[in-house]
Amino acid sequence: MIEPLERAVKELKRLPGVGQKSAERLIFHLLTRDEEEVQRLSEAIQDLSTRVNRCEVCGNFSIGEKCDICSDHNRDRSKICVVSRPWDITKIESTQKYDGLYHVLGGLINPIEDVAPEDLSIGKLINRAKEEEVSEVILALEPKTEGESTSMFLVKKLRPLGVEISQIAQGIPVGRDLEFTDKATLGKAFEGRRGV
Amino acid sequence: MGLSREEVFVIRRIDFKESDQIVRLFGRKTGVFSGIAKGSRKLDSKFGSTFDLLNRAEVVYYHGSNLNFLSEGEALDNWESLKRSGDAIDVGLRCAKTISVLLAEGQTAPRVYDLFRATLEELDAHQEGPYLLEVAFYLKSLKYIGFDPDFDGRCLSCGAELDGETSLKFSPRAGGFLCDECKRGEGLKLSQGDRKNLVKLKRTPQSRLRRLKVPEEKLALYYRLLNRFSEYHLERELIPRSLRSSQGRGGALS
Repeated sequence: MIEPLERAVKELKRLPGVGQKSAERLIFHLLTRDEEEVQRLSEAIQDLSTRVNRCEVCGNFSIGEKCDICSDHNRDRSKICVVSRPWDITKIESTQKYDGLYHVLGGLINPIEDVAPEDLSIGKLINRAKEEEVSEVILALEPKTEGESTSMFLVKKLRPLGVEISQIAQGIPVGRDLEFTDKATLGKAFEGRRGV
Repeated sequence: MGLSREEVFVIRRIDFKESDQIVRLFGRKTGVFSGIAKGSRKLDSKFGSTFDLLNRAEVVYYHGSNLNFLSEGEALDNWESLKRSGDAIDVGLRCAKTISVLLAEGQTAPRVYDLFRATLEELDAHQEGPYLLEVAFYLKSLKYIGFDPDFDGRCLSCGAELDGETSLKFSPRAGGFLCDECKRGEGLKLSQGDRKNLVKLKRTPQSRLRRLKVPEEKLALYYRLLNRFSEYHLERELIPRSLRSSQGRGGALS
């Protein structure tokens, strides 16, 4: 393989889920497209590193110092929803059920992977809860062991501040049969049942 | 391609590709091994919550040359009560990490498996004061894999009785105590009470450890001792980031 192709394949292979064959297929496809199209893709990728920052308030992806959500004065500033990764925000926004602010932790506490509370944006969250007009913090962390551990740590830190702390519901996904639901999920669904 | 069924603990998992996970499992018969669980991150995955960390599960897998292929899995214990305590989760995860540190892939250690199970069962039954269980887990694991620190009341070098001495020196290099004549300044300073505590921690089953009263600052000292011992003999720390409690409730352990 000639040098430019080899280099492009090598770089693509660094991406998650892209192996030698997938990388080669993508490169050969790009070589069949016109120059303008390839240039657009190249610029779009370039922009990721030159134009996309992390919001200095919440840690979301942003163009300027603050993300669109933190800059939007129509959002409910009394609520902060805590997520582990920036792309969780996109998912929650797609529901159109929440109009408050966000805070990205940047991961979950996990001794197995050597991730300690100091590695996450927890101090910043505590400061926001102290300084801003926040009345509720909503924990939207993954319902797995590391997520539970992180949620409990946050509850311990936030409770003395007098803010209301809530956690998103856990249980059976919409449209799924009870028959195929594992007992841990079903148990959580029963614990979190509500009056109708 | 052989097919196996085994009861395992989930001791590590790594997200892989769009919806797969590579999980490191610890079985009583097979020891530590890794497998790929295709699609296990999807909401409608047949694996459900099987591969949540610390779960005890029954898995069916095909043997691969590098990685096994997990075809079925069902959680047997998901330690519901344990997972309601941040401290208990942290202790469970650190013990799981220690298994990865101490055992190589394919190395079997049925006594460590039983010890891990007993530790999780105890953490699930009683969430308060989990650090005693943690230090005892490290002590016993080291013993079961053949690195048994000696807390006998004799000097490991000359055999002299140490009962009369109030201050003892534990030598990580020697793996035990040395008398005044032999210690030459090396080692960690301990009391006779510490020595007796360490003997009790090693001998007492996990289910009966709660009866022992050991202050947390003492547990931190014993952890440092075990870490130094492990660094010397295994050339690695038991847990790279010390016994600091990520929950911040560990008092002197933090």
